[in-house]
Amino acid sequence: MVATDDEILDLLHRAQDKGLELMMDTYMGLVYTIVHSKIATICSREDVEECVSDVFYEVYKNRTKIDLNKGSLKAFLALIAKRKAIDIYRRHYKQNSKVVSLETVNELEFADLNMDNEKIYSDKEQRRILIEEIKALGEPDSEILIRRYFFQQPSKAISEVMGIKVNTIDKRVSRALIKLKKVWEGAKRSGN
Amino acid sequence: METELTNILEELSLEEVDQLLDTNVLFAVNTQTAARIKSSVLHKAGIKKRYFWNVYSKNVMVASVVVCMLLLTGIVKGHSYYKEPVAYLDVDINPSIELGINRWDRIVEAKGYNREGEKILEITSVLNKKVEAGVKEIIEEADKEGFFNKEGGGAVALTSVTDDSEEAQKLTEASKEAAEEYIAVQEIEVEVITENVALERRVEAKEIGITPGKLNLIQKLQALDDKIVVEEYKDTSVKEIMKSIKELKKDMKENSKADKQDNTLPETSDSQDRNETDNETELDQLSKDQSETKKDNKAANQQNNKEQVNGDKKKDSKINQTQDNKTSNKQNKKVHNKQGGKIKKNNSKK
Repeated sequence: MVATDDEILDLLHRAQDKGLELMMDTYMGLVYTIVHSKIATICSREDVEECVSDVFYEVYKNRTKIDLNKGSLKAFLALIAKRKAIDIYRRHYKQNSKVVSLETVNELEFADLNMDNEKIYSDKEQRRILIEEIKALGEPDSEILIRRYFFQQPSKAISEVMGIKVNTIDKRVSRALIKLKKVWEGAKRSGN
Repeated sequence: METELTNILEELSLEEVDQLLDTNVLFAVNTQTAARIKSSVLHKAGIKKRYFWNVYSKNVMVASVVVCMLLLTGIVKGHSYYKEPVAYLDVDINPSIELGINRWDRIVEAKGYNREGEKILEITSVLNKKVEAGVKEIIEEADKEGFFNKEGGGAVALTSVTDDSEEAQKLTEASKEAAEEYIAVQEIEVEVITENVALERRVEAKEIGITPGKLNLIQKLQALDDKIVVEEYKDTSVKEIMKSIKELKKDMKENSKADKQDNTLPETSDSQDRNETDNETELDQLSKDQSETKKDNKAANQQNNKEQVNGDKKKDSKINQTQDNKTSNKQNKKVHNKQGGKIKKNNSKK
């Protein structure tokens, strides 16, 4: 039985250890996949695991700040995982990143989560259209695309999880990309 | 488009991510990896109460306990298997030491059977050493303690106590080699005696308080002289026991030689009395025979005299008859001589 976000959050407030365990049991795969896909090629197994544990600890630490009206727990975790992994990735290649401790970065990122930063989200409408278009692709194409471009899973891994041949996945991806390109360019033109 | 899409999705806001991931997308993660991460998070959160249970699930915990117990049992059993002697080797000089030997020819037990033996074991530790090394060390210590001297030498008895003949041979050969090596290097005159006795002899020896090896030597001595009491030889050195054995053997050899010689010589005074009666009987018999012979001769002579008158032919027969009589007399004399000097004397008196 999968626990709901409300149950997890409620437990996180009442019985921290149980809530934390329940959250990890529910979203371990999600967080691990995001972190692993992004940094597994440049980090050791221990670093990947450390990053994943940091993500859960971050959410646990800020449990009182989580507003489920603004986004699901899954979204919170996915976003923190993605940003932490990207930060490690960028720091590794010394691209666009200031040298600060991981803890400092975590706190800054978490504070940013609930902010509607105009600069960052200037293309909000375009992205909304893109997301809707991805969803409109229907199953299994939308999941394949989410896995491929959000979770950055390779075709082989997607094939194993979804039970679809690698060739079929690649064909569906390229077909979906053609569709998305048209929508994206149309959205950009109308945005401009 | 691929790179652009990746970049766009990396810049999504919380709301957008929420929108994108509203469907259920499943992800699997290795149980052990998940357990490690969980324990790390709980540790960071300062929740150590359940730390152990998070690292190891209940099943893994039970399995770990079972494995630990098996390992522990294995270690204990392995240790006792190693410590279990399969044979014994007795080193007797005057210090008497019994060594328990395991399957790998290692000394796992060492017991001194007398004060000297205990003293040597206090000075040197032979435990866990190979048989050869242990024996060499014991002999070396005994030498230092003065049990072998250059003039008088000494003796070492190495006795394997086992029912396994192969093991016995292996033990005695190895220990003998070690002892002889030391003796050769030190240029001392020490006799090395090797023996094998059955395990059951150990019980018997233990009751007396000596090694089965020493008991074996004393019993050898007993076989030569039944007056010997084992207890009296408990503290006697192997050298002394060996000396006694050799002396007794020498005596026995000389005695048997003397016995052989006695059988060929006339009987000694001890048997003279017993023989006297027999001799007298024989003497009477002999006298009887002689008088009968004389009678026969007399009759023969009378007949001859009668026949002499009858002719020359009969003269020859008379001569022959006389010769026969003489021969028979001579024979009687020879028989008489064989009966002993006394009979001879009696005959001559007669």
